[in-house]
Amino acid sequence: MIGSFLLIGPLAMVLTKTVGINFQNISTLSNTVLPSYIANTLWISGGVIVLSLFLGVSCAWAVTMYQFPFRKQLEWLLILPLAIPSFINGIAYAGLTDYAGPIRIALRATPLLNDVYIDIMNAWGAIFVMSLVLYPYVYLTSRSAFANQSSQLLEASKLLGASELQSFYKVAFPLAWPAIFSGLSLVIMEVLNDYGTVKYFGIPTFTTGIFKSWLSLGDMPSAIFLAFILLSLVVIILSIEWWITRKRITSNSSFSRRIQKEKLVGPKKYIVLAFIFGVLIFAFIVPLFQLLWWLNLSFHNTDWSKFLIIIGNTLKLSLYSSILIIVLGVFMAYAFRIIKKQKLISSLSKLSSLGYAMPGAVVAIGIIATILLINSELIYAGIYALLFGYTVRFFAVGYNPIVAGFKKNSSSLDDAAVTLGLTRLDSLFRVHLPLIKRSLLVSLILIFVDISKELPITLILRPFNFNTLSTNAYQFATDEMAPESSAASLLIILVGVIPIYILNRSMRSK
Amino acid sequence: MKALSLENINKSYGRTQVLKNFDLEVIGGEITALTGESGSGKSTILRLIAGLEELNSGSIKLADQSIDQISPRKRKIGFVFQDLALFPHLTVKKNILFGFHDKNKEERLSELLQLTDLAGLEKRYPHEISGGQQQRVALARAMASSPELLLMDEPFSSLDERIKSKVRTEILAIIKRLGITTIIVTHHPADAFAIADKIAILSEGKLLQYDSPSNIYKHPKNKYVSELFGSGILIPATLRNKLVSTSFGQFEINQTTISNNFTIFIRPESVSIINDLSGDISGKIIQKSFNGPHDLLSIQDEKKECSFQFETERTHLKVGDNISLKLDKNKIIVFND
Repeated sequence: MIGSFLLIGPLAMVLTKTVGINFQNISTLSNTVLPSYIANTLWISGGVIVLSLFLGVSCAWAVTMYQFPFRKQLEWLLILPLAIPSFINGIAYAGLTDYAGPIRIALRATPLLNDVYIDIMNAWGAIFVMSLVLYPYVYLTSRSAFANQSSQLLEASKLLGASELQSFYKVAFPLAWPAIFSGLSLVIMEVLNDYGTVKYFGIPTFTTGIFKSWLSLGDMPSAIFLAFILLSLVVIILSIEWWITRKRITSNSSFSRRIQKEKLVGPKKYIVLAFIFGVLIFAFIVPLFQLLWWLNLSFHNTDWSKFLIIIGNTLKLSLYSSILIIVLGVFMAYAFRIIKKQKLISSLSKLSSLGYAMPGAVVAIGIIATILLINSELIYAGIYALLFGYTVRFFAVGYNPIVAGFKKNSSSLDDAAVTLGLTRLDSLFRVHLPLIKRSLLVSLILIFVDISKELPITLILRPFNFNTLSTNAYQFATDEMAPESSAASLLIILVGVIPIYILNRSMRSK
Repeated sequence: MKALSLENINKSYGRTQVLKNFDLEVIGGEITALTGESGSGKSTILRLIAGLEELNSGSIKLADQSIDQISPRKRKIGFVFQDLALFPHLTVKKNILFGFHDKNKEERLSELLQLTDLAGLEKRYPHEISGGQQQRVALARAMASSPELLLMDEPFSSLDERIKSKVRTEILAIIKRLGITTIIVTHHPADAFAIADKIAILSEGKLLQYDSPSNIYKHPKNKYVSELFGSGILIPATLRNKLVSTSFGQFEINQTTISNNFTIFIRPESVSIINDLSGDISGKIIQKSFNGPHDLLSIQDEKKECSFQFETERTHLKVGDNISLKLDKNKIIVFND
């Protein structure tokens, strides 16, 4: 119970502090920057929704419905772009298209095209780079929804005269929509959470507004007000998601038959292959090669001893946060297991996990507001505020595998331990923890990956001159030293591939 | 000697009352089977005795000592769970000795391994041994601290039908050798018949009958119990002019306490087929099915209003034939409606 309150405290603080904001602040914001924050946030979110929906659903449909060369490999390769944080993708694409980048060089050398200039440092560009790395959320949920649909429904639709396209948008898509929307809501939350891309591209949104208000202007009330609006947006999305998934329709599984993949031949095969390879090339290969090229250029200029310190910082933060989250998660999950009040448990678990849906900037502002209430000198006094921030934001990431691990242990194991003379605490250490050690390891890896990618909380709450892999990459890029950001970016991508491998394996085994 | 007594036990989950004023006395060294349909409260009784659930009211005594206030860790009760609850991360040896804290661990282990015929498997993990062996590990673990009472919750339900009878015989032999007072929950009457000295039949949280298997078979207290254990003929009847009247015929009966409307029950071995149709009851065969060593006949009355099933030796009679049955009047049981 205490753990839950600790985790929702900063979010509650944003809410309570909003009540105390005077009207003058709100009026000033409304007359100046607020309209552009709202317009840009909505425009980018809308654009990313459309593009990632198109990319995610089409790729999922292709790998589920058709058989073509390399299908099995492409099925999981399509998830890989998820390992690239959107701001790193943004940095890579900006490098590709700027004056000294390969695309511009190639265009300059091409007659008639030498005056063409591709500018991606705008909202369109932000939509493009974000969609390329966020579409896998939609891809994963829709792939699993399409794969679990009964082939008989599509056969019935075809027998009733519908074309393949009609069967898709009249039957398959509506049935998969709740699952697709779960993926889409993750995309929206990531867009709202993003700071690095929009800041690098110079687009004012709510997150850049929160940063500007607090870090540049020291204007806490404005930061709180903007955080409140962002928090409200997330709550609205969560409510819509809850409302949509509540009405999830399932087909009668006892009679359902799995979809038989249609073997593609002729031009159709090449069109599908070209589309999927195109997505993969733009979303993963191109940015990866740009970063590798930069690494080659900057290899000798990179201060590797400093880089090791940054890796050490990231590892240290990840380890401390993981320990905090895992200890808190294990005791909460075990306490909830013993207290058999399901409604209370489910409400507290959901509340405690709310931080993961909240943009990092909102969490960070909530934590600053909480610390200011206790002692303002504690804010940059060390990594405590950061640890608190990560714990609130990533608690769900570590907690969910722990709960899943506990769920696998039958309740009769608890009963057996008690009848054999163990106390509840002994039973936790002697029976449960050895059995859920794999889940604990998964928690640790997931938390580590998220922390090494995390930018907004780290930027707001880090002590002076303290860098992690993500702040290092971001800092070099904003200092016009993009090639030097490549080492940290590549390492983030490399560790990001690990949970994707775990995720893909667990989905396959299901 | 009374080993365990449950007095006036009440237990509810929310608004659902699972046990209502439940009483039971178990004699030392006996094997008692608790049986009844799902939700009748059998497993709840075991969990209450073990202390895994709290009583709403009533009292539980083990060897005349109340154990209501004793923590489950200290009750000296062995428990074999339905899914066995073997710790998957521990070897057979560590599982067996999990709750044994005395110094002579190796000696005790060796005794238990010998008793349960598990010698040589002590280093294996639960998933590396067969279902029957897992069953014996669970039993050895429950017995390690020499409990005063052994509780087994549906211990054979997870077993394949093919090996079930073999494992049941093995487990029964071990329990008998130990002479420990045992309560086994099962929803298979055949299991209860095969292993128990006494059977307690529950329905909706109440004890319907508690007796030896043979008495329950011969003298079931009501229709539910009669149908639970073995087959028999059940026919609705009324009393007319001191004669029992059914739609299949009339006959005299030596019973004194009969209400006007009742049901007669008789086991098939107390019924014989009469060739000349002069039996106590007659009807027409409307269905005949093969039932292993027997034939199962469905017999209907003349007015086609009532029918009953009769299990008999192989017969040449066929569907559509009339049949007449002679009943052993001394074996007829009457269930007042």
